[in-house]
Amino acid sequence: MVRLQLKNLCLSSLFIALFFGCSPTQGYKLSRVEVVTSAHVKPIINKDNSLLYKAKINLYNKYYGGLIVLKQMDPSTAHLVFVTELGMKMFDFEIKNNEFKLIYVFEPLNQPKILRVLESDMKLILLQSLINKEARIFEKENKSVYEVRNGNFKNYYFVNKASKTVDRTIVKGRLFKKEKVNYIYNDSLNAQQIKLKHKGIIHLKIELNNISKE
Amino acid sequence: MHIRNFIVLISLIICSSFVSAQSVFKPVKDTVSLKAKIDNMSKVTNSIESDFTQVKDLSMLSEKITSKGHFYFQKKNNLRWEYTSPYKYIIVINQDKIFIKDENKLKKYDMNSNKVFKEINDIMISCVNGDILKSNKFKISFFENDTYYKLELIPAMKGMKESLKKINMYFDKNVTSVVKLEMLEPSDDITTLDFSNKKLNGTIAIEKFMLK
Repeated sequence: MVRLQLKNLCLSSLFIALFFGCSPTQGYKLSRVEVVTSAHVKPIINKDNSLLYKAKINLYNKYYGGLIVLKQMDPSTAHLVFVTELGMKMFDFEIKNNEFKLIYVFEPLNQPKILRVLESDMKLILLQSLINKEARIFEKENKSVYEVRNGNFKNYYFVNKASKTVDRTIVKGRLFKKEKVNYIYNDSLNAQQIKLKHKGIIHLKIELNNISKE
Repeated sequence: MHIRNFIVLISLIICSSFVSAQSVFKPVKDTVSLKAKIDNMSKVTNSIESDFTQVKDLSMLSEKITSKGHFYFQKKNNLRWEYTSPYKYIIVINQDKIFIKDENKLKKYDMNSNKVFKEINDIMISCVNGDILKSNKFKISFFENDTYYKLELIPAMKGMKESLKKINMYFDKNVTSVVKLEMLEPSDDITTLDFSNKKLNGTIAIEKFMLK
C-alpha cells in the first residue's frame, strides 16, 4: 500500500514538474498585456534593404540548398523568394498585411504537406505570429519574453530589451516543445543567422546565413 | 548655344542608333551553314574551362543576385560548377552521379533518381557542347547581329514549359563556344550565365570531377 502511494506520488511529481516546471517564462515576472508592434520588437524583414540568405532546408529527409531573398515592396507587402544556387526559383511567397500567399512553386515541391509546413515555419521565422498580436509580456533584467497564443500552442519570443531583437522563439504545446528558432545578430541591424528545428514527427531543419550582396 | 545643343542631340541620336543596330538580332539566312558550324564545334570541343558570372534577375522584385565562379566541362558528361562568390558551393556531374559540396558537407545523388536534376543536366550539357540542336525538346530559331549568333530555344514539352519559357544561347561569330546563356522563366525572371577567360581543349585533372 505504501509502495503504491509512493509510486503515485512520484508520478504526480513528475507530471507537475513537466506541467509547471518547464515554462519558458520561469524566472520572469508578468509585466503587462499589450498588442505587439515594431516599436516593441524589430521585424526580421528590413523595410529599407532587401536581405539575402544562404538557405539549407532539410525536409522529410530531402535537402534543398539555395538562396532566400526577403524584400519589402511597399509598406504592406513583402516577398520571400527561394532560388537554388543554379538560379532556379523554387517558391515565392507574398506577405501582405501579415497574410502569406503562394505566388509560385516549382512543381516537384507543389505538395500540400510540404507547402503547409514551409509556410507555417517561414511565418514563425519572420515573426508573423508576434507583430500585431496581443502578448503577455514577462520581464527580467535586460530580457523580455512575449507569450502569444497560437491555436493549441503558445509561442514564446525572447527579446533583448536594448536592441529589441528576438534571440529565440519557442513553440510549446501543453507538455512539450514543438519548434525552436534561434537568431544570431552580429549587430542590431539584421539577423546574421537563423536556425529553426522541429521536435517530434515533422523532420524539418532550416538554417539561414546572411550574405552580403554585390 | 542652340547650335551646340543641336549637335549634341544629333550625336546622341547617331550613337544610340549605332548601338541599337549593333544589338538588334536578325534571323539567320543560312541556317544550314550555322548548324554545320555548331555541329563541328560540338565535335572538336573536348573540354572547356572558364570563369562564369551568374545573374539571377527576379523581375517582380527588381532584384538581382550575382554569383561568380569557375566552370569545367569534359566530354562526354562531366561538369563542375564551382561557385566562389558570394559563397562557396560546388556541384559536380560525373556521368550519372551528382556530387554537391556545400561548405564542408558533401552529398552524392544518383542522377536517375532525380528527374529534375537529370533534366537540368541534360539541358546544361547539351547547351554547352552544342548538342542541343539534336534535341527534340525545343523549337529552335536562329538569329545574328554583328557580334553574336543567338539561338532561341522554346520548350516543346508541356512539363518543361511550366518552369522554362525560353533559353537564349549566344555563340561568338567564329562559333568556337557558347559565350552566354539566358534562361527565361514564365514569370519573366531571367538567369544569365556569362562565360569568360575560356580555355578550350586544355587538360583538366580528372580529380576536378570527383569530390571527397
